[in-house]
Amino acid sequence: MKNRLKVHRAIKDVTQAQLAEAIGVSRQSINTIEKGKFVPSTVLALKFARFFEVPVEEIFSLEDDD
Amino acid sequence: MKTYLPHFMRKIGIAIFIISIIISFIGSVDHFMSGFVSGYNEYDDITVKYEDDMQAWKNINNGLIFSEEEQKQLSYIALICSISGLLVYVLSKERIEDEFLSQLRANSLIKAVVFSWLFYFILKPLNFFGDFEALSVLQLQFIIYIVVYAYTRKIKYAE
Repeated sequence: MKNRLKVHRAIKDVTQAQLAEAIGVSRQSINTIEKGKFVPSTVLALKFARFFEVPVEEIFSLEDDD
Repeated sequence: MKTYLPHFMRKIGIAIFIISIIISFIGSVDHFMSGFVSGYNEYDDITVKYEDDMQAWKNINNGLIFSEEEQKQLSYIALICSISGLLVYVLSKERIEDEFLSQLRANSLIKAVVFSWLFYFILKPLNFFGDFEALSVLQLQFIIYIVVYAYTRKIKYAE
């Protein structure tokens, strides 16, 4: 699964720490999600979508091999 | 894996573990002294006279500091303290607990169980550690869990 978390974070001009605090996770989690090392749960994905005010598919999308 | 204790309990867990190491050292004082005696040149003739280093130490000290029964009891207390301390540490929350850390914990736990039993089955036939009790395997599982968890969190997924 690929994600555009970093892009949306840049658009909204928030740091990983600020996003982590707003969502209620650690900065390390944001970092690993951005790098694609960790796939978040649906709840967390929906929290990201709500924070960035976009549909969840805008942030997370399936790759061909998924 | 779920955590049940607040973050500050980690320090208490570490303190209990350190106490267990101290108790273990105290319980092994006769073994340390017998090793010291055998390595001390002045007593070389004494250690040769006796069957083993412990016998030489008994002779020099007019007996042991702790009887063998007391040594076993102290060793058991140290093991229980060690497991309790490690358990408290493992069950304590991080400052910010989230699903990424829960997944890391779960993965670390699986690796710890597999590695500890592999370790046990390899070393048991070799009789490497003498009596390798079930409680020691449990202690080993906690230690491997903590090492794997710390490695994945601080090194593998370092920011």
